Amino acid sequence: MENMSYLPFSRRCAVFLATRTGLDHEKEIILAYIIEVLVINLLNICLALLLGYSLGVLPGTVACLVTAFFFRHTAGGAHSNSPWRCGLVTMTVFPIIALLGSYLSYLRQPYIDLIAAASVLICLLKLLQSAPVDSPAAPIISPLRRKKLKIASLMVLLAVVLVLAFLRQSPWPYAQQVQLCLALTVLWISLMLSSYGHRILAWIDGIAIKKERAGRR
Amino acid sequence: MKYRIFGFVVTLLLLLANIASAAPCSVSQYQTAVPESLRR
Repeated sequence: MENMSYLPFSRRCAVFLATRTGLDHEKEIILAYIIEVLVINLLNICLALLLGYSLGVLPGTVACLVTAFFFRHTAGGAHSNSPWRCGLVTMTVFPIIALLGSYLSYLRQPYIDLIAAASVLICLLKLLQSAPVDSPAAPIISPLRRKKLKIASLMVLLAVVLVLAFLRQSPWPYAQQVQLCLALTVLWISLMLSSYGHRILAWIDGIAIKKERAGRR
Repeated sequence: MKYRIFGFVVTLLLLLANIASAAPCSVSQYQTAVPESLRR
């Protein structure tokens, strides 16, 4: 039997549900896994939206989260070792990208087009080169699944290009801001697919470990 | 009645686990370890 390396709250909920319904240990582990996935992601999304709302960039934050959701589900990317450090990164990065998008939205359309085109091109190269990027916690075993995920990630990029083209013609007041948010999120996704993204998250993990050790002394 | 509700919740969660395990990662920067039985 494999060990349950999940957070205490998800283990407790899984044990409770498994006991009530008479499930075996294997199903109990699956329950702990999905409870942890749902709670961590919902918490991260809610905190990111709350921060985006308080910074006055809610539409941009929503656009960033939706784009990141589809890319992360197909292309994968770098990961942090701790759910709390990951939460801090997720809840701050997307509202900051949205804030940057709102500042840059005062640029003229040709400059916005240039940023969008460069972001899409960089992402296309990274997807062709590296996607899907898996992690030891969720390895991609099947080569067929790997191929399907790569195609799916390219389809997501195509959808982003279509949305960017639609927003370019749109009279919506937030169109330029959302356009830039999409472009900057695509750049962030490209960074997370690269070795630099892995190094950044490893560095963030390293800071926290040093502090924890210092705290114990 | 309680057993039915718990049964429904558990079935729904197991279905979601199957769907979630199909993706290489979720929206956040942390990857919860996928159980051996769901790895593919």
